[in-house]
Amino acid sequence: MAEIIIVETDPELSLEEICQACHITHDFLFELLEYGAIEPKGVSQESWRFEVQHLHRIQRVLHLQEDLEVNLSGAILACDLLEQIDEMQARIQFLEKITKI
Amino acid sequence: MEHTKYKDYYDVLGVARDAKSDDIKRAYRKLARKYHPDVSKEANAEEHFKEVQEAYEVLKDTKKRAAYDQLGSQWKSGQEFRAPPGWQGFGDVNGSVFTEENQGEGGGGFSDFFEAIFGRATHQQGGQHRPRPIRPQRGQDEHAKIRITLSEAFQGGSKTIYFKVPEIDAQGQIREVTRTLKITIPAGIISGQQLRLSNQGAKGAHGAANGDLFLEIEIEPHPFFTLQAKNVYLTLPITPWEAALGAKITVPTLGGSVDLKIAAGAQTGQTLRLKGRGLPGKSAAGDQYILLQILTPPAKTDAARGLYEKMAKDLPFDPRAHLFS
Repeated sequence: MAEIIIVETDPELSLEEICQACHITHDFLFELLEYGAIEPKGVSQESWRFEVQHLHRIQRVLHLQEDLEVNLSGAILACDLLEQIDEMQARIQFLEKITKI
Repeated sequence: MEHTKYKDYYDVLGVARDAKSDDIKRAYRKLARKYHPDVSKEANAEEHFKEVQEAYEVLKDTKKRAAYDQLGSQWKSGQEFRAPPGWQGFGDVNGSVFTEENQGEGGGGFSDFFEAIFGRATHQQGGQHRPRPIRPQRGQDEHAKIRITLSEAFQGGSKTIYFKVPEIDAQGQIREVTRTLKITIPAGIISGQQLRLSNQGAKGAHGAANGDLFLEIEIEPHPFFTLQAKNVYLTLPITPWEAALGAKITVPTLGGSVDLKIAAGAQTGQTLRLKGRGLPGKSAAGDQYILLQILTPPAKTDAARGLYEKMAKDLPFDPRAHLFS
């Protein structure tokens, strides 16, 4: 009998879940919030809801710090710029496709 | 007896065999920036990065570098390699290779060549004498990307997915296992959207819950539809007479063909919107945009040439007037 697997779209993570998933302390997360690196939905800590893209962003910041010796603010800036590059590349790819003769 | 391929670590870092440690560090830092998977746009960045890391791991440490140099400089990269007879290995490489962090990220171990010289790193947390804590530990979350077709994204429905996940077996070694799951894809899902499958991640330890499995959707390119979020774009070739006189044209959409009325006087680059013909959505469906592209038939026969010449004579039309006024 095939197992029925529930699929949740656009999953949201709590403060606890995202800290656990990224192996970071609450304090580190608060620092990221102070930099505006991630912005959860919700007003109180208990009601904060993070997205998977926030998780990826945190991991990217951690990798930049650990592997490339970047300080926190630099890593956050690099993250922003990298995301901008990704968006631009996607837009270029899209424009190239629809204007192809 | 293991066969491995020799790796020229000096070559990997682009340094001479007698390079000073400063040079080695500088070379490593430059290459790490170039190939870091989070930053790099190079092909096979992750592979390159691992190679660079491994080379640095050996050459930055005087003992390891000396042991490596002992193998001699006559080896070439890629050459079949066997450890010299009587080679004792370097002993266990300490801790940092298999940490909890990279456990779930595809192994993160060093190459067979590295292990042939320096011994295999075992899955241990810190010191060898500290007893493993036997408390329940929630399994790691796992992240994977799955590719679906545009048709599957439009209709949704059941899909069987296969993906490889690293697993720790009873001996504490990491190996890749193929998992099969049957899931329901919701209709209207877009590229980059995330799905969570609760409890489908790594197994929890000692009775704790499993981690979750996160899937990121990637929609495969389509031969003629271009997708952006929920909107679909289609370049529609039309004839000069269809453009000039107007026409009713059948166009494909995700949900089947529809008839489109093109007003007389249409030009290349004009965009027409078919509302709601994109991917379905909870609040609103996306749209399909048609980009008109007038194609002129080739003037290959005398009759065709004649028609064009007649048009040139009978239709006064200067599309470049504004360039020279």
